[in-house]
Amino acid sequence: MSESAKIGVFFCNCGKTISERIDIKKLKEEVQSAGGVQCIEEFESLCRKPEQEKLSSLMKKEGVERVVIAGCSPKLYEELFARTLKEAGINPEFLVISNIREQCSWVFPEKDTATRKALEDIRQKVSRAKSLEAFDEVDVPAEQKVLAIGGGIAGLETALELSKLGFKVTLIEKSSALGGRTLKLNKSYVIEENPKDYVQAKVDLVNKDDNIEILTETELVKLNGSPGNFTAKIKQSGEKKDLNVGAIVVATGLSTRFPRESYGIDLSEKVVTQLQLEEILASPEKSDARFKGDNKAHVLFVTGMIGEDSKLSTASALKNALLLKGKYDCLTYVACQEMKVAGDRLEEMYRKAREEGVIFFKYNGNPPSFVTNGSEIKAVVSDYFLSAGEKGIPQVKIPCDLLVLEENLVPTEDFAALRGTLDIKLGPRGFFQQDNVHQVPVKSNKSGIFLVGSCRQPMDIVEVLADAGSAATQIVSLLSPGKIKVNDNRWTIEKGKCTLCLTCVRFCPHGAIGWTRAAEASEGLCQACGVCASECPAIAIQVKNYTNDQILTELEEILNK
Amino acid sequence: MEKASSKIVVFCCYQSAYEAADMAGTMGLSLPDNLNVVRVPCTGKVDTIHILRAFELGAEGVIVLACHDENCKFLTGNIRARKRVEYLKGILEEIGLEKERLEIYNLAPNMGHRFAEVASSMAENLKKLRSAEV
Ligand SMILES: Cc1cc2nc3c(=O)[nH]c(=O)nc-3n(C[C@H](O)[C@H](O)[C@H](O)COP(=O)(O)OP(=O)(O)OC[C@H]3O[C@@H](n4cnc5c(N)ncnc54)[C@H](O)[C@@H]3O)c2cc1C
Ligand code: SF4
Ligand code: SF4
Repeated sequence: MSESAKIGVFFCNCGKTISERIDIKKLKEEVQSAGGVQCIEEFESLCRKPEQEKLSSLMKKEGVERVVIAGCSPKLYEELFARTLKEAGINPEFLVISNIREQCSWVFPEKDTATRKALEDIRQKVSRAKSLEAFDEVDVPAEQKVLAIGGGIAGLETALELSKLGFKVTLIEKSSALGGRTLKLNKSYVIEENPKDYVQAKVDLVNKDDNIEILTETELVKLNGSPGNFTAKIKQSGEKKDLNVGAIVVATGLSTRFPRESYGIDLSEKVVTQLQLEEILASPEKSDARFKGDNKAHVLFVTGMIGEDSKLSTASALKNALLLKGKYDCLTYVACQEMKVAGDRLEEMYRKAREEGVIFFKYNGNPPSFVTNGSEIKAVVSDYFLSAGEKGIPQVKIPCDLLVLEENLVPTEDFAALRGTLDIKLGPRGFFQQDNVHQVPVKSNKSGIFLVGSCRQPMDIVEVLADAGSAATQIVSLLSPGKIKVNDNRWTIEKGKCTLCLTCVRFCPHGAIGWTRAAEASEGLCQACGVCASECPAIAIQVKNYTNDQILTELEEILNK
Repeated sequence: MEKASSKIVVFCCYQSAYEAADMAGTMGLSLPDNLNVVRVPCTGKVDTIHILRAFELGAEGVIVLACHDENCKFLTGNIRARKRVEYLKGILEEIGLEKERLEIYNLAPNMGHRFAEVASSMAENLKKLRSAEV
């Protein structure tokens, strides 16, 4: 706490918005007579450039060291005023905004009350200003190089985008070939090209790109360091080596699992998953052999029996029902819990499918059952609309030449291990990402590690491409121009108090804390949320400018103690 | 001047509730005049000791306002805050204070109405507790 620092309190009338409803003159007198403030001044509109210049020269002239600006919400101009402080040679950490507009003048219609509340807030902020500590943002050198894990469309596209932006990329793929799941698709509902050709074209571009190094049959085994300076240990056919990279892109895709328990029927020649059908249709020979002929095949698609109808499975069912109808004149049916068409092209495909004669059943809580007799399969399907107004549920029996069942889209098998190696957290659905409005979707909880494509949630190719672009942009803004800004010494620990209970390590949301003889946060990873400090049973950790003492100082001022 | 003993301290997460408080002002909603906001970067930084000390210094009520579940900028700060508040409610009862004096709510930045609602409801509850005492 600095009792001797020179404090300035600057009022902004905000045109007349504030001064009409708050007695600024009285505030100035009160602040003056309370003492401890060396410089008090009133401004018309501090958000205007000339007035900031005036403020800046006043602060310089008076040698002001800490600044309280009483005006509009910090949500509006805090950053602007921080720059004004910087220009005046004051550490921007020494700025406190007293929000006397939104939280005082606009709340209390009586001038007296508004003025009293404003005074309370200013006092609180003056006491805070006195208690602030300086810390600096410092630059640490950052590798302009990225490790991308997974050679599907997500990894390929991110590598290409990064290369365009002048970054070097090492792309590691655990299988022997690049391309990923897209190679198995017969047709995409969002892009015109054949998916195989589309991804192959990307593979060719990556192969030709001097900025991109490709390592197949390679996996990540260990990761250390922080953004800008990670050391990644990778293993290629038994051989290990270290890579120094500035950021990591995880693009490992997803897996599928057939949940037999949900359907009560085994996969067979006549019962396939959606992905299996994709593979059959991707090969003209296989699909001709199956569907070409005089007898029209009956094909039933079932979605929604294993949880919410997902967008990908809806899309896949519509796409392939239309294809089988158009190309082989099959009799196609789709049984769904609900037809959810909120997504690119889905509504259009749904309409088209109806026009072309695909028959839809909305079973609405009464899922189909399947009866087998030798090699024959019958599906018993009910429909919400057919049953309307009637007692009982009318059921339709469909003889199936092919039954196409939706599978679960699940994290890949080695997902848990990879998550451990990277030390990042999973989102609520077991994938990598959280649904969080405050979070850029491709960012993981750990700074410098990015999640791209279907490893963070099931998505189609166009969404994968958008992810890749977004991740590349994020990475460039993090690592350019070859350095990263970190808060120097903002996180502090009294080593003597630390009992190495590792509570902080467990609760840090950003995987920022490690330990040797005492807990230790990585400046590059710490985001100064303060969770560790609040959880540490020994009260060993403080995060500067939200230390215990600083918060308690404000409380004491509020409560007049 | 109000006595400290009638004050309500509101810890506002700067990512959400702080802006909700601004919005309550912008919309001209009425708020109790014994409310004082403490801005925190995340409610994950509101320690048990801060809340207890506020009561010790004479605050009548304390409200912690966090982001919605799954919407914490720091991922789990709001969850930790709720755990602490729940734990502290027990402590308050043990030391003879009503647990209604401490509340935690989840707000989004655009929930000015909700801010005004929870602030007023705390003020109301405190009034009731006060009249029950005499
Ligand atoms: C049934 C079905 C139908 C679909 N239909 C369509 C459609 O019509 N249109 C459309 O646009 N999209 C469709 N999709 C989605 C499309 O397949 C995905 O959007 C796309 O494949 C996602 O690409 P990705 O790069 O994220 O993952 P993937 O293509 O799965 O690639 C991941 C890559 O990472 C590798 N890998 C995994 N783990 C590791 C590791 N630990 N280390 C190194 N490498 C690793 C894998 O070997 C793989 O090469 C469908 C998906 C399914 C399941
Ligand atoms: S929680 Fe506190 S005592 Fe425990 S390891 Fe972390 S710093 Fe040390
Ligand atoms: S303040 Fe603590 S909990 Fe928060 S990111 Fe930094 S080290 Fe982790």
